Amino acid sequence: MDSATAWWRFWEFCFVVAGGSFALIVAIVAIRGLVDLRELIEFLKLKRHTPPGTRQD
Amino acid sequence: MNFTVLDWSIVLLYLALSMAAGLYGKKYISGASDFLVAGRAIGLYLGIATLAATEIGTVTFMYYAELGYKTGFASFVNGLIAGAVMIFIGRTGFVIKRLRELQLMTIPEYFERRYSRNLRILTGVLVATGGILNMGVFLKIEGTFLAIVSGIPLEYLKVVMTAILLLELLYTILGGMVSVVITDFIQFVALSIGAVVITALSIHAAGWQNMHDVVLRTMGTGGFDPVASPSFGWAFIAFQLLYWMAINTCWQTTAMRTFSTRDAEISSKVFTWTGFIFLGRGMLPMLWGIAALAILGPGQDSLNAMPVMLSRILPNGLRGIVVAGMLAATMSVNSSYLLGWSSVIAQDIVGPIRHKPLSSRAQVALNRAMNLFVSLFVMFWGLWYKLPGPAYFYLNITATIFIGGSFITIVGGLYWKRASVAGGYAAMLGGAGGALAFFVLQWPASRAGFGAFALAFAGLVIGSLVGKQQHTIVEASLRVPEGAKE
Repeated sequence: MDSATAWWRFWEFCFVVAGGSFALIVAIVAIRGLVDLRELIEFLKLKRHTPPGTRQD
Repeated sequence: MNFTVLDWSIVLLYLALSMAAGLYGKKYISGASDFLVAGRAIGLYLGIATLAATEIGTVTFMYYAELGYKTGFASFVNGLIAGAVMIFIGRTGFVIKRLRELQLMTIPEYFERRYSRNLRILTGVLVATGGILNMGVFLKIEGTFLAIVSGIPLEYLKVVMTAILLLELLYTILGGMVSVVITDFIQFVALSIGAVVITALSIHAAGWQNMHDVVLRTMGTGGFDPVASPSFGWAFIAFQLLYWMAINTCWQTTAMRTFSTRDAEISSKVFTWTGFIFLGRGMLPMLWGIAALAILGPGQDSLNAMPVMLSRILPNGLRGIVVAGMLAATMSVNSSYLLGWSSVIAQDIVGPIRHKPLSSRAQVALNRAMNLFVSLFVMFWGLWYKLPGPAYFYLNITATIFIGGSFITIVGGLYWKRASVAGGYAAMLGGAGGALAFFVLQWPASRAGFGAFALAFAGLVIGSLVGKQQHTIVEASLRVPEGAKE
């Protein structure tokens, strides 16, 4: 197998891994990220109503 | 004009949704830590979304596609290095874990804790200079993409891009990191859909085997082998490994996500997952550039080839979705970068120069003013400056103005007790000098980039061994400072 073909096979494999993981992670993050977003808003709402001396980061 | 009513409807609906979400974040700002790092309360999945959205812009797609068009499949090595290094950092926690534990808000803040206030100011100046120069070409490149794909005449699109920058400025100034995180999430979903659609269409239009044949015919082995490629080679690969280590640990906008997560463990996981996204962030648009080569042939303007191809293969309706996705990518990056660079000016230059600390409210006001300043610069620089070569190299080198020195100085500060203030100064100035050789001496990017890291390393080691030793700062820098909690 010549160098160009060997690299071509390698890049094909890398592209499949890259494209597949991109699509999969995007789908997972899109769904689970909504939960994180809601928790962030709840945390900031609570922080807004807590007096400064009692806040914790 | 390529846009139909359907396309316009999709784009305008998306813009309205983004603005509403961004302005919603304003009411949750009650102090500097909320404005800059969203109260340090971002969870894993939101962390991944905001990190990915921040670092995937239309400009990212454009410069990677340009690389694919010019260098074929050999360009994939850049995507592979970017993703692999990020995964490595995520798995090991190298630098990011220690930085998150220190509860910082900016990278130069570490310099004051570990080294000295004046070194923080110098670093702040270099970070702001490199970062703003880097961002300075975004608007022009983004505008070019949108003009070509939508068919809007360029003179009108400058007005449209300015309006979009002002919209981003509005929600960034008012809501800071909270607004940026909310809009990043929406934009992450939109740009990802856009990227997948373009990839599928490109492969369908160009043909997988056909792309291979065209690259082989026009570039030979160099179109596949990154070592044999005349644009890359071993020196460039070595520079990219260092570059991506530095970007993933010390790039201000990336670091702000590190600082914004709930804890160090979450930071590491965010990096590991986002590393896999970064593989696609590089390789997908590079493939679009190769598809443009296969469809349009060589001889096109390399930066414009990909959007020209898209303007030919995208059907109505899908064009609107893709443009909305690219607008999403544009706005997420621009808003995060506005916040990143303006926070450095406010927190790391103006703040330390004053001898009296600013109140939290004053810090927020100052950050907002700096947002405006950076926006104005970006508008004018983009219209005036002409790129000297491939956009990817310009962006690498402007970033290296500060990350070469920053990376070496931070790693030295975290892992070598002898690293001293003198070494820090020498590293920062050496790193900047090496990078500036790209502009002043017309060095190739690989030589200037590698030279920057080498000079920074030599500066830190020699400066620390020769200069005055610090005996108390190392332990103090590892403690969470009093007053860090609000």
